[in-house]
Amino acid sequence: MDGILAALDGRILTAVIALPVFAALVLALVAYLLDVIGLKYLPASIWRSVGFGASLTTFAATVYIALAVFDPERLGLQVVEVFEWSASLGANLSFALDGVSLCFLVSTTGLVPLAMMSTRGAVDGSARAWVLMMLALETTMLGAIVAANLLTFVAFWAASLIPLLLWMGRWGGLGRARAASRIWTTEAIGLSGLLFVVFVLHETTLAQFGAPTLDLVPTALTGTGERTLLDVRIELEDQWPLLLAFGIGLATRLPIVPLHFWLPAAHAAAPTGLSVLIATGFVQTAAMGWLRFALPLFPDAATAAGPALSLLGIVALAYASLIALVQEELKRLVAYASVGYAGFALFGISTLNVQGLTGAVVQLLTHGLATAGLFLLIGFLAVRRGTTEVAAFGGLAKPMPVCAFFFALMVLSLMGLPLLGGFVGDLFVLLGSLETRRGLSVFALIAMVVAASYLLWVQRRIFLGPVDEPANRGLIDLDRVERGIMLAMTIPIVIIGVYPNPLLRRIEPAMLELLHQMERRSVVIEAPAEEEEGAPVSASGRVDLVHFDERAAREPS
Amino acid sequence: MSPVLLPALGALVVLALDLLARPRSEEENSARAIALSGIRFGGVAVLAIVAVGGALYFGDRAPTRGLLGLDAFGLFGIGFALVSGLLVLSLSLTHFGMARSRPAEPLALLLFSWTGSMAAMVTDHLLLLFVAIELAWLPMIALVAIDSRRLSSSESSLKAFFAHAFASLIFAHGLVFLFGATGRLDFAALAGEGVEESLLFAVGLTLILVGLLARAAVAPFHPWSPDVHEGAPSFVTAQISTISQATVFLVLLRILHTAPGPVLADPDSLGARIPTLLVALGSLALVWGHAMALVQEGLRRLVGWLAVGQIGFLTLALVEAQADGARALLLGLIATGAAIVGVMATLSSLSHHERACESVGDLGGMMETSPLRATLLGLFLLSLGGLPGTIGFVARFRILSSLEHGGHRWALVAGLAATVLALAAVGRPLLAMLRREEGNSAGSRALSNEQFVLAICGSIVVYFGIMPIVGETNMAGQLAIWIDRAISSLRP
Amino acid sequence: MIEIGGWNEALGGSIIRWIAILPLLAAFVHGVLIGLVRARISNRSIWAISLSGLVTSFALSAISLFDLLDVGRLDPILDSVGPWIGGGVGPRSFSAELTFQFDPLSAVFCLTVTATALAVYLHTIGQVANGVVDREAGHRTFAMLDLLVGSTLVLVLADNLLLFFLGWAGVGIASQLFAAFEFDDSDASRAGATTFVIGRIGDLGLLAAMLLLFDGLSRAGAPALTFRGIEAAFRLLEGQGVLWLSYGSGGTEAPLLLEIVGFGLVLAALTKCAQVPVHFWLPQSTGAPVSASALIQSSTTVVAGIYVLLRFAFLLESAPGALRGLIFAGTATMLLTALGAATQIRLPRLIALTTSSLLGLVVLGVGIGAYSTATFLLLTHAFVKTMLLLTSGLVQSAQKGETDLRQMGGLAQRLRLTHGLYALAALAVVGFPPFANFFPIEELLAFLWISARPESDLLLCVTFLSLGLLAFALARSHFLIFWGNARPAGQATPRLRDATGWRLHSLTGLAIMALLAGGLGPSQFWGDLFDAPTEQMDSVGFFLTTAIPGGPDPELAGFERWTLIGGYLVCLLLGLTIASLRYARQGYGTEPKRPAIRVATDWMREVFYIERAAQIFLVRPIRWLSQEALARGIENQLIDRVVVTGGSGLVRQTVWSVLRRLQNGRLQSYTLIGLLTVLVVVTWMVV
Repeated sequence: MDGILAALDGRILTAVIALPVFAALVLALVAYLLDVIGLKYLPASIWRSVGFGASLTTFAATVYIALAVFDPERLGLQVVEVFEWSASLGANLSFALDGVSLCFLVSTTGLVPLAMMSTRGAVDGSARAWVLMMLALETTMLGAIVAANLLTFVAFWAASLIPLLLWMGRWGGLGRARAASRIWTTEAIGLSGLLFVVFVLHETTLAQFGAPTLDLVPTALTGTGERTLLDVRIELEDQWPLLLAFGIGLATRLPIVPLHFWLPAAHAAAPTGLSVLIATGFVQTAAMGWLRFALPLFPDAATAAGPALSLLGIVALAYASLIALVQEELKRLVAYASVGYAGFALFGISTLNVQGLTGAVVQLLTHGLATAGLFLLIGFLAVRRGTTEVAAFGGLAKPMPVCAFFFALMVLSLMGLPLLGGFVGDLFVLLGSLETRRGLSVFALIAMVVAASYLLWVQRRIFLGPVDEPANRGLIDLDRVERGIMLAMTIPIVIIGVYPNPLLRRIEPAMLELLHQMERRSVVIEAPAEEEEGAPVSASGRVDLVHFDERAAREPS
Repeated sequence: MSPVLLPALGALVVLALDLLARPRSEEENSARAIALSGIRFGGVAVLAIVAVGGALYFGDRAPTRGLLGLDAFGLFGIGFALVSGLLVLSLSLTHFGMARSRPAEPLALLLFSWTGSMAAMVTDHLLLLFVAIELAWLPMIALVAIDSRRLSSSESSLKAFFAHAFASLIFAHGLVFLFGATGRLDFAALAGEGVEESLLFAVGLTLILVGLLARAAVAPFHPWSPDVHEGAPSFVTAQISTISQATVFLVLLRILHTAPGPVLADPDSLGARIPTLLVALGSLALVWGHAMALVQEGLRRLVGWLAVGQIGFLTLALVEAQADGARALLLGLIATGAAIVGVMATLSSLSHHERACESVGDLGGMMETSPLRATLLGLFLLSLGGLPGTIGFVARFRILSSLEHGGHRWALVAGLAATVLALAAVGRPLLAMLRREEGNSAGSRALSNEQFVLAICGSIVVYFGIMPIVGETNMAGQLAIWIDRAISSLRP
Repeated sequence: MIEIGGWNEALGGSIIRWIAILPLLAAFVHGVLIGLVRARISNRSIWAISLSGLVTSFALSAISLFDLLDVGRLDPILDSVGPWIGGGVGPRSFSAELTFQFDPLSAVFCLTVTATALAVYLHTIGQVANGVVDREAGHRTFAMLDLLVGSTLVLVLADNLLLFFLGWAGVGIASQLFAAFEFDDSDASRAGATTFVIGRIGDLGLLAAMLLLFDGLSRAGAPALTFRGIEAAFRLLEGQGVLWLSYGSGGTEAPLLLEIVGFGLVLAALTKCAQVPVHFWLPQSTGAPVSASALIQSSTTVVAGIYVLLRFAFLLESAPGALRGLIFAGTATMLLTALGAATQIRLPRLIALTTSSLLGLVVLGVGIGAYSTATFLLLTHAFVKTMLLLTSGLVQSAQKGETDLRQMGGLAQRLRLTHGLYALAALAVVGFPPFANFFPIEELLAFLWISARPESDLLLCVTFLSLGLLAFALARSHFLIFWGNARPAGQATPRLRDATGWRLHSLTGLAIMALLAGGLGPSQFWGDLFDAPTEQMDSVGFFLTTAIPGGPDPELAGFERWTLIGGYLVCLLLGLTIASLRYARQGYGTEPKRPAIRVATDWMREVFYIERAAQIFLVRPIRWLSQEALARGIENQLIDRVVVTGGSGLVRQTVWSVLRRLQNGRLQSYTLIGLLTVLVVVTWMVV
């Protein structure tokens, strides 16, 4: 064990990212050799078990990183690993962790095995392509999540499309072709936006440093010495088009209304496991793009666009929720729910203060988990019942109470019930928005509280009421494996809800660092103003109670 | 004697042998035997060329100038021609394996056209250039029509013939004007020292440029090219989109490097307008080609239109010919050639006797039936679409960043718009491949020669995509050094 | 941290938390057993799990009460488990601790809740033992009861806003679960949905209030999450003469913001204690098992509503608008729901409406600043209402679930005990002397009498009227159930049996409380007896002085008091007599003939169709908006069809129409294009 760790010293993060696809390739090679020497194909079970083992090992490794390697006290990027890729492109293969990417990393790697198990029955035909694609998708998503270089980010971002589309086209349900082409088109638009930013920044760094660099971390490989992409000065009028292009790219994937149209189609057509990964890791890559690249690189434009983005976020939340209210098909409904929560996440991100950003991250984590759980349950229902139309169900709480139990749990978490994960994120987003977007925060609150009602509505239509469909009467409840999966989904939600402080302690430093970067890189704010942190109030004629001690105040006088 | 004439020699040998070994009867098996023998001879010839070229290339001789003198740039061109020629030959085996036609003529034609291309790449005299280009292209026009059973083949050959007649016409006029202006026809004349009739000179230079651009099927001179891609057998298409194309662009590069003289120097004369002209035509080709590719149903036609778009990119690379553009262009030639040859190889491997693979729909479920080739085809298409991680992206990155560097922001925007179109166009066959197709029988297996071509192209696309130019350390670095040497040899 | 009293010290100083946690633990165990493991465990073990939790927390709260009553010390006992949620930087950073505080207010509510809950639990055990409720339903009932009680205890013991909200949400979930208890019945599930939606509205109000409050405080430089901290900061800022919630420059927004916070709290309170216009979840959710609705209507859900008002009384006093709204809502509820109860024909709905009406009185009391009295009334109400509901449960179970008053009658002979208990409970509820509710109601009337508000006289009249209506309604129900001649439903049931076993014992206990609970704080009566100063005698009020604001109870001169009490009694007697005249003999009779009267009756019965109005004016427009405007209009037509499909289609169209025409396969046109290009280029380049 120690030997392995010693060997991986300084490369552990890369190893974790590469592990899934590496395992997949080795397996493929073995299978090919066996085929060549005349043995028949490896049985599907071996493929499955090896793939499952690989993903599980990856999860274990990420947990190890989170516990042993990652240092929550440190600000900024850590576990930095840079590999030479192309000096002249200014691109190195560089990965690094901060609190946010750590959380996303763990959640994604943890969800892949669950997704594998959940789809175990549904896979017909070649298990090998299935395992290969699952692992390739995992690697690409992880790479995009921890990428510390703009081009690395874009490359993994683009690469994650291929396994996704293959999976969609191969094991997708009805309307998969349409969904796939939609994903492809939107992502093509978004990708070209990202590429535009890459070109321009490449040139800008080349002009300012004499050598191009797209790295966020200083490395000797680029000819720029200690200077990184974060040291390049971008004038305000240049920031605007760049932020626009980059934002469009990210908004297509997050996804933000009105660029969301691919998501309902995708979820409606995707197999369960894929829905799970789309709802979590795939979307979180976009969030990483915002937090790691868009905001620090274009701080002034982002700050100026903040109110507009917040408004957009709320509108997206309300709009998607209202549409979800009248969806008659479960997957589409949950898809619109996730669109709404993406809007809420954008709202939190655009508040541009610690609490808002932290809340947005937590919210992406927990709501991703909850929506993924809903997708899993819907998948279980679909396997049993062959349809996901809401009208086909009703009164299921009698035949399958455990399913109802978990469904209710996920719904409650999405609605922000205290002691469940969703509450923490919502609370922080709202607190943060009160600081900088007080006017909008009330609407956000209303939208957030009222929004989730459609979930209750659908829950009632599925699980409560009389069992009128004869087909539903004989439904069997979740079996042991499915219960295990759902339990594994539930535990983190509950833990985050009951005691979120460890999570927050890891996320907040990253957000502080982010805000600090924005302040440092800003070209309009010369004096780093305290106004950002709406604070000592004596300035505006209000009493200054810096030493107000709550504990002391509680002592009765 | 210059090594560029070796292929012609090989062609003569092949023809002679064909004459000697003419069979008594036209039976299939004897025809097959002849085919094989001819192929063998062709192979011999090629190997000879490779040997000579390689010797010349690695034994880095002092560059000689002259009618067919060699410099590093010409050597690069020859090397390119040799590698792609190898691919084209091995791809052609499929055709000869199937077609009843006798292999000798096509082989000879191929070899002749190589001679022309190589000569055009190395020569420094415009008249010889004219002849060389004719020699390079006319055999191709004949070869386009070689598949006599297909109507589209001969039709496209006819169109190609007219287009080339047109191009040569313009080029010839250009020569005339230039001679009238300067009284000489070597490349140095393009520098335009001691020109008294600057109008004549300008017209001549413009006509020469336009003629070459028309030859390279830059929009709007392109309409014949998709037809050719559709009609011609794979190996001919491969040849056209590698060697023949490269010839013209290398010649253009050489011209644009030699051209800037006192006349072109002053900004308000055409010297300042050439980049604008190139940007205009290149952007037009980009948008036009990719947009048309968006709506094609026929697979080969779609690839043809993608090729038109690629030509647009190459034209844009010429804009900054004096600066980074040149390197970008050479890389772009490799990228385009590898991708299109790869696609062609895949298609021909898919469309053997029993199952023709003509339309996008025919790709359905390919990921099931032949995953390896599907992956490769996907790679080639994505490289044409310029997805990061493929050589297509690297080349495009170089070209666009050279434009950005030169301050042509609009060309950059056009390039990105074209990228969207390209990705969208590429997406359809890609998604078709990924789709699950019920009751889809396994496609035909790839022949060994096609596997060879696929392996080469695939490794080029992936390797240079994953490992862009990083220095002397690896193959890619070596390529970069060769390119640099070639470019630097252009500057007198 | 304050040093804590003897018992707490003896027990390690951490017993407060267990008051709240133990029932929750029991609920969790039940939940796992039911939802996850699907284990069937015996009734006895079910009861053991639940009762052990409840009894312990009852005992612990009693112990803590003694600690609290240590001589001269009414400080809160704090019990901090540890940090819970925290974050942020600078003055906005906050850290919500998992801390429970046991102060007089919490003490009162803890004891009330646990005591009533104890009675209800025992009653439920009796039901299961008697086979009225089957095992599985019993198990679910106990699980939800534990959740309800535990959440209520968390709510009343919470020391900061977040913990409070936790309890609040738990109570809401439990109420919803109970409302949808018979989940395979569509009405029940609908009731659950209604309860939930209204609960969400309440959550909205509470969250808005909490967040804005915290925001305002932290902007003023004194961020505080704990109740005491907030109060201290409030007083401090007030004491410094600052518009403490002034945002940025100038303090113009300050009152407005305070009003918003106040309105949020009021909204939250109204939803939880079923006040107009958000009252209708309570009558709907009567599908719940009787024991559950007994607890909901007596001491848990409704307590949550009043408790939030009492906690923030100091704040409400500086939000006049919110107070006005509170008073108005309370009064309106009192009257309207009393009317509804007076014309109701379903027993559970009737009782639910009386609950709303009486709580309207409590809310009114809070509105006019009679905090201790309101608390007192809530306390007595808890016991008597539990008793009333449990007895009505006896009736229903005796009638095999028949709830229609028209189908009942003549049960008096066969259910003597129940008859007596019901009468007692009804009298106690309307506050007939000397039963429990009389004393607090009398005090409230005194408050109204002396209150300086201009509309106080009107309020007084309305109160009299609605009390009379309540008396009428309950008497009417009593007569319809027990008097008159037996109805078919009564006959049909083979063996009507009085309550026995635990059902009876619990009721006796409650009856005792209904008789004695009034003795806890009848200030003036004891004052007269022992001619001592009132505030010493008003135990509840005196006990609460450190916890909630509000002056001592009013001292009225003899004449005023006797007029008040007289008028009150007259109203009650009037109601009783009318009811007896109308219903004692001939039972229900027939529906009114005259259309006007029938319409009026329907309107009253449906509490003036507030719910349907909400349906028509809120729910339907929203659904229409989503369905037609957004889903069909924008999403499908605009985005899907026009933008996406249309956009790509447009590209393809243009390509086809324009470029295709150029790509026509004719050599002539190709050549022409080429030539033209050459000409253009040459001219442009050269000229």
